[in-house]
Amino acid sequence: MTPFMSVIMLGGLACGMGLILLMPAIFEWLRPKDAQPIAIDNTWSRNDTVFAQNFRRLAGSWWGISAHVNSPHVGISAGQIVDTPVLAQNLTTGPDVWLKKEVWTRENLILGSNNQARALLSDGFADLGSGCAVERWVHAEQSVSLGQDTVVNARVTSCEHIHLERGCQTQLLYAPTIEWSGQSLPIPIDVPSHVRRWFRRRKISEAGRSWDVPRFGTLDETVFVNGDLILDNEADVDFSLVVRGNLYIRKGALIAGNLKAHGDLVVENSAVIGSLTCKGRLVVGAGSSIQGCLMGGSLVWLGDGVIIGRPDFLQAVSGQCVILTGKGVVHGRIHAVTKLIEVQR
Amino acid sequence: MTLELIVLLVKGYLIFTVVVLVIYVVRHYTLTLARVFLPSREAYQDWACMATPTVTVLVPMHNEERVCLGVLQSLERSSFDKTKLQVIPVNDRSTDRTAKIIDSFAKYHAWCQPFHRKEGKGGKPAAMKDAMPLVTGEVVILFDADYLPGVGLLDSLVAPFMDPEIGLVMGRVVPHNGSRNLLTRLLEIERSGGYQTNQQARWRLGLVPQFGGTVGGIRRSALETAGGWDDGMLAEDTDLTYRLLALGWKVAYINRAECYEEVVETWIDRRKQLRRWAMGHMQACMRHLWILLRNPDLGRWEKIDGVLLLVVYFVPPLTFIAWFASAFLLMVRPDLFPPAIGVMLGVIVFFSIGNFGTFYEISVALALDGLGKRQRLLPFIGGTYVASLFLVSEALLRLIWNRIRGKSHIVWDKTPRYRR
Repeated sequence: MTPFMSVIMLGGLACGMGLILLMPAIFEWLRPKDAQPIAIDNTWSRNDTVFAQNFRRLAGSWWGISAHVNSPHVGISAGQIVDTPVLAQNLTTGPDVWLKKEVWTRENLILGSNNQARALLSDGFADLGSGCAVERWVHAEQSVSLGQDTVVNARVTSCEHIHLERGCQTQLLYAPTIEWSGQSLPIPIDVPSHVRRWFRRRKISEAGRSWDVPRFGTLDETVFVNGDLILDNEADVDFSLVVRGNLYIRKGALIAGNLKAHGDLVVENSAVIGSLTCKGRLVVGAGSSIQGCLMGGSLVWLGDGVIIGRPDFLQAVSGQCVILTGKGVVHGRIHAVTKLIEVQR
Repeated sequence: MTLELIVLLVKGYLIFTVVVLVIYVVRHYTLTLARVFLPSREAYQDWACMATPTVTVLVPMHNEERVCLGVLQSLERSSFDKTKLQVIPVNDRSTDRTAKIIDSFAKYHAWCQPFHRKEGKGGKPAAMKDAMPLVTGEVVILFDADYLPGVGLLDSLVAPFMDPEIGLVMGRVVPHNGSRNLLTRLLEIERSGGYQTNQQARWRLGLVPQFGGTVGGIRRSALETAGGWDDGMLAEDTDLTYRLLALGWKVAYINRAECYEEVVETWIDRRKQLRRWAMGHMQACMRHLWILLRNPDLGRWEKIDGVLLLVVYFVPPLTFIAWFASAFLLMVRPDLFPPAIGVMLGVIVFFSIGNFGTFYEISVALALDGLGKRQRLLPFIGGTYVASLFLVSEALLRLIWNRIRGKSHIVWDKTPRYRR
């Protein structure tokens, strides 16, 4: 065999092998099996009642949309295990009942203590006793009340009002008004009296300010600060702040602007009209009022008497873990991204 | 002596090229692994619908009669509060029915306020620059005319601006005409890799996601502080990303803020598009590289990622020249090359690790999108890579040629529309 023939044969072999490798690609090109555009849904992440809505649709197919409910009031006595879905006008259970499938009440739902359930939907109010455990979600058109130490694994939503007793845990809460009653505790971070600040460059002089904020590089209404920053008592800020360190806001401050800290952000009994964002812990001390969204990088801690948002101006609180202490109110949504929302025992 | 010097230089060049390629391979793997294993960052989606500043949507249109009504109708269906919304279709010297269509739409929608640009410099940045005096919103959102924003998209794009550090927000682009032919299918999977893996990983790692100039938003005050649009730039999006980074702002990438677009359907149009992107990117690189390196507000990794993003279009010409350099070296100094077994090992290592960085990135994206069967098309991506190697190298030559001739203005090739 001449060298030329050898080269031709080797080349042919290589091309053949290459063609074999390309076969799946060629088939997919000529006879596409997966060519539809990617489905887009921009609304899923904001639809807090999506589970309840889907269940309503599903249950409609089980029972018929306008299912006639024969029993106006269903009572389940203590210790029973119910392993079928329940559709009732009203439902009341005794203690230690296990509802293995979904429950839908056309009016009100009252669960006794230490009940277990899969998912609960109520067209009226839903009242869960202490120590209940819900595997998935709870939704009520009116109010939802969770007794002490009740755990709902996924989410609790209501079109009106949610009340949580101490020890309650869940991952997402959504209602125009969310209230809790937990143990009142002092803030978990010590606010230092002095902080380190440094500047790489200073662009704007500080004349005429009643508070001592080191400023550099202002960008319209946003001020960027390097290092930690304390806004002293009675500070009055009317622009947004980005602090590349920890940010401490002392009592009585009034902030009209969005705040961000690369470290921890602590607000002691102050009013903020704007959002709070930080990469570390976000601590909102007792008596603070925030008219904006909150986002903490790790822990979000809300103290006694905190008010977030308004019923007509819903806001969101999110963090890896959210701790609710004392008595407070959030109008909108509370979301623990990876761990839990817990009312302090 | 001269030959030895040339050989030394060529060797140095080849070593440099290998180092650059290895860095990009490491980058691809790092981003792919970060996308899969790192948890998601700030949940700005939680803020959607709750934080609503006033918004102006700019839609530049140049002879867009085929598609302009689609984008306006999509915006009409948006769930965003219309009392806080201003939409400005920027009719940029259109000679077709674009003006008529947007005017008749605006007649029935108070939030739609068309801007007709009769003359001036061509190109998207020039059109947007002229439209800026009409903008009233605190946030400016951009869409190209062929885009079809979904119901909740504006809310998703606007929400991150409540974080005072965010100057730019980028959403995800999804082709809706991907099934048209082989090119569109390849572009579709390339987009998946670029957004689902690359952009999302850079966001998760706290690096520099790129603002793409469409399906994205800009804080108006930041834009104004940065000096507004530069109509001399071909890649105004990259230019803006780096100008705002230099001023301390950050770019947020929202993977769930997805929007349909139309990808180019012919290879000729693809060639023009890629050439424009490459030239624009190189132009931005020359302007911003040094500023980026000296920026004290950026972290080390942000700088590294910023540089790698900025110089990415120089890699194909670098590789292209390296081929010739290797051939030259093989001819003049064959003794420098390793024995055949060494070459084979090198080729095997390269094809099993180096060359597949991009493919892994795309594969992961397709898997995350639930489109596993599309991975069969991946071998064809190798072909487009070779084609882009030539096209990007050509773009660099054109850019150099323009500079030599002192021609600062670069012609803007408009992307054609195909909607039936």
